[in-house]
Amino acid sequence: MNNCLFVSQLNIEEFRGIKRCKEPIKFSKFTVLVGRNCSGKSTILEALSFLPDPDINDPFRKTSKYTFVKDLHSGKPLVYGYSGTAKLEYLSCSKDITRNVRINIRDEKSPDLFIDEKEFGEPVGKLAELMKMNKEEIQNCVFFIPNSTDFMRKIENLIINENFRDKINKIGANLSVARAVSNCIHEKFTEVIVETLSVRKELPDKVFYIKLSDLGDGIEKAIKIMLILETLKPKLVIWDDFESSAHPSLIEILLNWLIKKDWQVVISTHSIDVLYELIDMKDGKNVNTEDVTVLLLEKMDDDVLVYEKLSFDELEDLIIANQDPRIVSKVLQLR
Amino acid sequence: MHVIREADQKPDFIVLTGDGKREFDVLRALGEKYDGRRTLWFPKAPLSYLKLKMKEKPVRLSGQSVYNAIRTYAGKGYCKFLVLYDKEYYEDFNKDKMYLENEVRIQIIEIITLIEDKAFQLRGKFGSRDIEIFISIQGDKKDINEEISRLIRLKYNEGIEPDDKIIKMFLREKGEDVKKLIKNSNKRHLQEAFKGICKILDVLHFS
Repeated sequence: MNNCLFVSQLNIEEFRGIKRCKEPIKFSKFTVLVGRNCSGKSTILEALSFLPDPDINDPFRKTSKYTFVKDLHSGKPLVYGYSGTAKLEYLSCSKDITRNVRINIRDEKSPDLFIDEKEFGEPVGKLAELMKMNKEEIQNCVFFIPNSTDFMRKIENLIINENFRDKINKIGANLSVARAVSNCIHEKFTEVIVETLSVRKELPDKVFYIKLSDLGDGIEKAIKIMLILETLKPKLVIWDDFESSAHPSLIEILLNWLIKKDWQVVISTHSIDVLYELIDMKDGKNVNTEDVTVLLLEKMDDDVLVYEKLSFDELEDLIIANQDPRIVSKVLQLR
Repeated sequence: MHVIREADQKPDFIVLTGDGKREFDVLRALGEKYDGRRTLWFPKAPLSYLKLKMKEKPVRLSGQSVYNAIRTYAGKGYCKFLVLYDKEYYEDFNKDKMYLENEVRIQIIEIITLIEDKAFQLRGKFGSRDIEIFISIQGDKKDINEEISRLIRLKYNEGIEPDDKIIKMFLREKGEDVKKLIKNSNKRHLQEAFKGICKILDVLHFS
């Protein structure tokens, strides 16, 4: 991976429930957002999902990234207070070139993209050229997983697409993903049969084929997402409510899998299990602890977002002392 | 003395513990015996990480590891702490002192022994900041269950094993739990049972 992070910084003004950030949000290679409900976690992830251009379509979405997020909110304006202009400013890096990216959102029209302070209205091929990627890379470079059942149905359509499933099989993701999830359940899956969306399950004396939709929600979701990410290889993975439907053993598998890949990851969570599993990853799992940070988010009464950054070591110190990092953010702001 | 898990205002002290799960209930119930001038903030995790890990495999803990959180909080501007940890991890306060100086980087100015091997008050500097730490060591040999068991003996005149399950069963038969037991006990018994914590709460109350 290049030394630079795909997104190292984000500043938000008047977007969704956030009026402004007290200071720009800084990301590491693996960033975990923690905070109470309505503290701004999803808003940050949605803002990140617009990169590199809110007007381009993802591979499986018929609509732009911007419309996708808007649809998550029933088509309501994404601007704070439902009127005015939202400003999102990023530091984004590709192939060692860092660029200032700004997106202005006014509800009545499509978002405006500025790169290094210049308005950018060129086709996606030009953007790819500027970001030193090819057209396919630029479309796949950011993958956003919202906590939405509708989204899970949509990604199924991508998986069964003939071209896509050929890619999955070609790189062997159908085998590696089956093996990975088998480690957290008491069943031996040897292969995901992408054509029929099922798994091959081995028993000592026979073999079953089970539809993904007949597995538990957590495993079904994990298998689909892992297949897609293995195949698309995005530069930035964004995952809202990461732990939803996942047992701690699945959380452990997913975290270990995510953290060892070449991409940057930003997830949000309410789960103490995620934080505990993070701490466990330190032991002999080849994780560079400097790559991991936890951002404790808090939204003040005036809708200003503040956050406290915990390094991996600080997180570990708090957890060993029986402290719950999810509830310390408010007090840390009161000092 | 308010002992709270979530705070909306700046607390007077932050409470740190190791793997114990009883400490929050005990401290909160004891705190209610004092007036509400002070707030002790105990952002206790729902499940002790160390307890969970010890179920998977035995982990040899150093009692001092709990002090590491002081470094994290002090670095973010908090400087008053109450540390509760079990006797089974305690050896000698000199070891704690050395750990605080060498690992947590506190320049110790004064140590007051409130009760020998049981309760200490420490003043020092973390960088340029003044820091104050109260330390209570729970139990005679092992943990806080020995102190709860002592309170049961004082109140009911019955000796029971200082074991979590046995205590729970005994109190259930009496229609109580640890919180009610403390609430319904007199201060003299509490001071006799929870020597370290009560001594520290007394100091905080009168300071």
